[in-house]
Amino acid sequence: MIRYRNGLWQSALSSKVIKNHLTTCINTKSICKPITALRAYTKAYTRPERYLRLYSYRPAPNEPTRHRLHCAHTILFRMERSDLDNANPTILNVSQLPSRRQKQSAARKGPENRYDDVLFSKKQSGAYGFGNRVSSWPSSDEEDDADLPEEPIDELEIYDLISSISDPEHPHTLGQLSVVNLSDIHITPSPSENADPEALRTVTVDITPTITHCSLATVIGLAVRVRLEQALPPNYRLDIRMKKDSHAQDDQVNKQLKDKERVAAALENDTLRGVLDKMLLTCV
Amino acid sequence: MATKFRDWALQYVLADEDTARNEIATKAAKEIESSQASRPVLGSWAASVGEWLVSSTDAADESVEDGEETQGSGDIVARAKALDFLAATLQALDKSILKPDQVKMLAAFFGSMFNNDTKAGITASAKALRQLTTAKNFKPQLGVKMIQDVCQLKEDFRLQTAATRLDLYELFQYLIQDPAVASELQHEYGASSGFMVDLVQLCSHERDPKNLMVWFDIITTLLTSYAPSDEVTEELFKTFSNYFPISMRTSATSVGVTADDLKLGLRRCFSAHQRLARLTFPYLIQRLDQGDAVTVAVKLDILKTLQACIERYENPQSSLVPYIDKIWNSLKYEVRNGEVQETSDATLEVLRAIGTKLNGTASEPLDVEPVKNYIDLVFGDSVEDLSNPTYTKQAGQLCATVVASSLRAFLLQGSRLVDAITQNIRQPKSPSHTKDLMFLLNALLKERRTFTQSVRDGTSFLLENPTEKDSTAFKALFHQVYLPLWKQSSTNPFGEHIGLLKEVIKGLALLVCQQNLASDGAQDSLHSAEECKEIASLLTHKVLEPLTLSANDRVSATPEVEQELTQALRTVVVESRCVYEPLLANSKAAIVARDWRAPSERSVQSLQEIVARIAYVTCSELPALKTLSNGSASNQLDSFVCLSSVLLQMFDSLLVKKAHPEVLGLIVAGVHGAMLNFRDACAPLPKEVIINPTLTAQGSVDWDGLFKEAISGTKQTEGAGLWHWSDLLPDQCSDLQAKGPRTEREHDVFADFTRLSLYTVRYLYLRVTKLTPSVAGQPEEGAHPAIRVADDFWNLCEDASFSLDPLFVQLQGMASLVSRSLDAASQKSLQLAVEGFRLFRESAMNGELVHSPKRAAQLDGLTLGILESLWPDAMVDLYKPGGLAFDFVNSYLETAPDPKDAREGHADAVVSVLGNKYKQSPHGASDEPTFYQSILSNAVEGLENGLSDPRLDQQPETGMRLVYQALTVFEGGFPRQDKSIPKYIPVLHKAIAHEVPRVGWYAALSLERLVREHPYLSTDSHAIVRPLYKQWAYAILAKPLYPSALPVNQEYPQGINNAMAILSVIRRCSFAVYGDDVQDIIRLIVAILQKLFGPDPGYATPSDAIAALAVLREILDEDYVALREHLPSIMENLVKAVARPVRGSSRKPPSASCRKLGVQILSGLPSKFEERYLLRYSLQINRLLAESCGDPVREVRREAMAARERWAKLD
Repeated sequence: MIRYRNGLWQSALSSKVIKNHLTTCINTKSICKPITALRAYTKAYTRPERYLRLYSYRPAPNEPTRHRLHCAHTILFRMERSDLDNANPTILNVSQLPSRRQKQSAARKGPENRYDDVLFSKKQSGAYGFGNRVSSWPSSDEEDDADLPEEPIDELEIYDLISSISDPEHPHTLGQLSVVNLSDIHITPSPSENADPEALRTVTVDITPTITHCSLATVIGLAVRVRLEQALPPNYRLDIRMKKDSHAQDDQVNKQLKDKERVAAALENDTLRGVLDKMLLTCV
Repeated sequence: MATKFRDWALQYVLADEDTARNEIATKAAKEIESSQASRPVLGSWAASVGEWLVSSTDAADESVEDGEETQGSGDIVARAKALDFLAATLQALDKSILKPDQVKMLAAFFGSMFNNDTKAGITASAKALRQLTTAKNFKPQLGVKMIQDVCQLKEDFRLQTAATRLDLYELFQYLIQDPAVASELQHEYGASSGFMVDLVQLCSHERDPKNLMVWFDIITTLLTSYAPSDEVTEELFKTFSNYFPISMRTSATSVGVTADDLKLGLRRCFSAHQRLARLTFPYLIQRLDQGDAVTVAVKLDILKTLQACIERYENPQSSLVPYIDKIWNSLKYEVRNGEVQETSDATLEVLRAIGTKLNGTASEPLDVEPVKNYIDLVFGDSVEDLSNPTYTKQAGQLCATVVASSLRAFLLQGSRLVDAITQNIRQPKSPSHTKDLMFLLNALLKERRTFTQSVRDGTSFLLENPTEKDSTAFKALFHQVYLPLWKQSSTNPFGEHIGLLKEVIKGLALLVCQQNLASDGAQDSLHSAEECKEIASLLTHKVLEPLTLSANDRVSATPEVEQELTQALRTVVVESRCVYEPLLANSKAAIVARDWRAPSERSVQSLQEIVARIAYVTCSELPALKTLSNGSASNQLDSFVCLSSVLLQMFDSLLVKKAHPEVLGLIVAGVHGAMLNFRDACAPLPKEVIINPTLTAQGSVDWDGLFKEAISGTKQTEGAGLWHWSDLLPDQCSDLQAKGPRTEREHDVFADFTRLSLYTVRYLYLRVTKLTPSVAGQPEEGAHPAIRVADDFWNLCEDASFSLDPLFVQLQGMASLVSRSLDAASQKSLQLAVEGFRLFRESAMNGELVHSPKRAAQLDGLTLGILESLWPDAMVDLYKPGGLAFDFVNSYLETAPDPKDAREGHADAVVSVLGNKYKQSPHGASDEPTFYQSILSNAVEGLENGLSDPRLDQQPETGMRLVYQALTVFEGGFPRQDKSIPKYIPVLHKAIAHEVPRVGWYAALSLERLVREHPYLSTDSHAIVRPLYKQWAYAILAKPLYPSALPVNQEYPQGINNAMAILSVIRRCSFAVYGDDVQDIIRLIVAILQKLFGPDPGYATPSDAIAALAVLREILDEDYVALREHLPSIMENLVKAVARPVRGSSRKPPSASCRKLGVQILSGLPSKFEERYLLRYSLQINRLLAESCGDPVREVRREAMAARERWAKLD
């Protein structure tokens, strides 16, 4: 499999693998600009020296031809990739992202924690008391109300919902690309202020495109809206917008995202719906 | 005679079956043997096939002339069979019977076939010749002749079948491997080895896999055992190299040879002899340099072949050194620019093999010059690349591989590489560049460690190669590289710095493990004790960060770094004792220094992390056995002795400072964790440990003797300064003597460990209890001595109103673990059953040991800790009439019911365990009521009396308490299916249908206890559990209630109780148990839900619906079709179970568990039922689930989101 990393196609040296990948790209109309990549590949292989000179690559005196070829097409791939909106975005490690789910699982995965369940289980005490059984149903392992504490919806939960959406262009999530950030999510009134679960609340999400001229900002905004509409109760209003000065046309994009008619129309477009579904596939 | 042989020959030719043919051949062989192979007999035997030979020759001539192939081919078959008769006879013949001239004659006869009869004679001749070679009178000259004869086949060889060719290959193989024939061949052909050329010409077109394997073997033998001239060698090389790279077509039928076998066979040819070197290396390198035409698999094959040649060729000066430049120039790019991990690894192996070969063997080391030149060559091309972040890793791999190829190479140039890396670290290009360099440095440290471990004695080699340079270079690393980088990266690492910090931590651990290489063979630590301690304190400081730093300062603490830290410390602790002390000292100081009287949740969490980590680091691996300077052997138990004693000292210190019991519990959890980790380290464990304690004059266990036996030998001179139990118990440890030479069997360590663990449990039990006639300072006149919670703990509880539970729960768990590892006999001889009650206080035997309101509930927990892991056989003594078990249960039943007393249920569990593990004494009279019968009848009698009390209406709690107590006694008997239970079941049914509704409802709800799986009533805890007891319980408890449960209506309020009782029982059973009654059960569920969510639920709460919903979920999974008819009413009730009541409604909101179960069931419906059944509810349920997405409980929201997605798909 060919992976895209730090603006460079990391490929196996074997031309067969590359050809297979490109054929798949062409067949599936995937995002890696197959035609241009294929062209680059062909060029690199027919006239490698020319391209190497072009990009000031100086091979070692004894370096075999196969390495020159490889370097040539690596350079060309890099060049061809640069026609993406942002060919080289900053990518965060998944473990660095704020997440309630991952924190819980990551904290307990070392070998030193293998006996935590035996040693530090909260259930050890008071499981069989008479007092526990008089007024309510005797507790069980999975259905104990004490295990189900009341925790209102907060910003981190909203972040968990949308950070796992895939980017339409890169094989990374919106969280990894910092398109959505925890600090840019706000719930008003704050969940702790009002205990009434049925009160109207507004969730504001500011999206930061990786570059100011991102043509897919609307699609990303739409995906965030669809995801939150699917996951939040009816008393939550959504306000999805581009972060101020993060996009060259943020006014227009914001207008588009706010317009219910246009959002509804967009969702009826099969192609767009397909893109959105693909983006939401990675949501858990 | 002649006729007989002719007949046999005819029969042989005509026979179709192998067995018949073999019989005939055996007969002929016997005939020859009986005549002692006389000339006439042998002549008639040979002449018996003459008829086919003659006629066939004529026929063949004719057929050629007339063009009639058909006739000829028929004769060929017959002729082949006739010749086969001779070959088969030879096979059956005694090998010593033929005379030399006869062997010669026969060899000549069959040999002539290769020239005369290439169509019919070859197979039989090959077989016959093969037999003749094994004859006693076979002469080597005949072997030479045979090879010459066979070679006459020339082009016809290819036309033979694969099986025939295989016979011939095997013949060749046998002949050339025979030393006599080999020497005859050398003599005959001399250096020119002409026969090899003939063989090569004959066999060069072979394609059959099986034959190829033999052919490759023949070539290998020719190259290794003969000395062919250069021309012949080239011919041979051409023959086998033509096959390279070899592959095999996949075939439907198995041929018994795989492509890998062929590859290995061919590789053996390449690496057969160093005289091939001048051909092999250029050839393989040329193949490698073919560019993209070479696939990864072929490249791997080439690299492995290269490696095999390098490793097997002797005399590397002439066979390897001239080609090193060429090999290196081709291979370096495979690593430098290669991106396929496998080829890169294989290349590194080749480079390593060159280094190892140039080093020579231990007995015959080679000249140092080639190694030096080789390393210079690699360094010359690679060291510069270290400064280029793109190639750092690859260049580093290349350099490290050649340097680590042998100890000599390491000593020669290791320091040079370290210098180069250090220089680059000083001028880093990026954090990842530094990380790569550190990775490299760590790899070198690892290699150095392996070398020092392998050098056992000070070899003369070390004397020749001074090690000062090596020591200086590596010694300087800590201050020059690791310490500055640690300072730079350890505070708030982020992004790429995290990876760097991980490498630094790994490296620090490796530094501590480094040893000096001294020419006298003595090995001591490379770093001084101070440096080791400094490293230890750096690592410990990091481990203790959760306690020492605030949450804001630790935002960047990542699990990866913490795990690396843990692993590093673990490595260090196992390797070097000098780190142990600072680790424990710093941890102790940091923990004890804090004020733990009212710790925050975060502090407790941090302490928990640290305690778990220290237990893992110090006890999860057994230290290697070493001989100490005083001559005695080190003790593998040291680490556990040290950690347990330091934790117990901390326990005392914290208690004095009035720490919260939860904190004390965590310290005990540290000891418990150390035990668990140490158990794993001792794996594979003996199933159970046998301990036979000595008894004192009074008949009690000599615990001090047991303790001494466990820890003798742990207090060695080198361990002085470390913590030891002698600090805790100076009296017991005063006369400790080192044990004699210890056996190295881990079993012994484990037995000692178990003894010490047992003693630790006893120590802590004694620590938390006291023997007194009073409770909490209130004197009790005339009372027997009784066991109470010790004052310092009781005061903690009284003064600060802390609950002691967390501490006692830990103690209970630890006691259970330790007693579980003993077998029944040991448990009995240690008198653990009695100790369970007297809690190791022997003088309390006559005192109050039983459950009582005055005895703190926690002490019952301690009792349970020991009893729950005992084998029934170890508890027999408890059940004597008037024994402890009777006293305890009676006292439990007599305790005045006090519903406000929300005590822990430890006493209940003890009663259940006693009821379950009872074994009738073989000496007891059969008509006497057993222990269980008597306590059960007592409990039931109490219950019956209590329930008939008219005041119960005003005090329903009293009735509930009685039900609870009776069920506790029942609880122990159900898993063992005690025979006395069924006759008392009607009393329980009566309680369920009691006229005081609250008592009846409570009894119905509580019935689930009888079939619930309690940890203390599991087979792991050695409880008596019959496999089908749940079916039994269902049949006697729930089944009789069906008639009185249905129909549920207002006229008969007890009906609802019965329904509830059934559901509460089946909730704890699998579907298989109640599947037959599923229709009735669904009706009960609907009735219960309607009652609970209806306008008048009475005293029942909506939470009581959990049982009904849980059973409903189970039915949905197992038999959803049964639900179809009831779908409307089920949906109606599910909505009530999930939805919040509308404002102003008097209905109580359902509990979180209830909502969760309701949503889970809703979520499961779309996958089970077709759309037509669900569409009508779709709108309502979608709205409900959307609202549930805003549920206050996160878990419910998550379930609702999943359910919403499924229901959304319905539209």
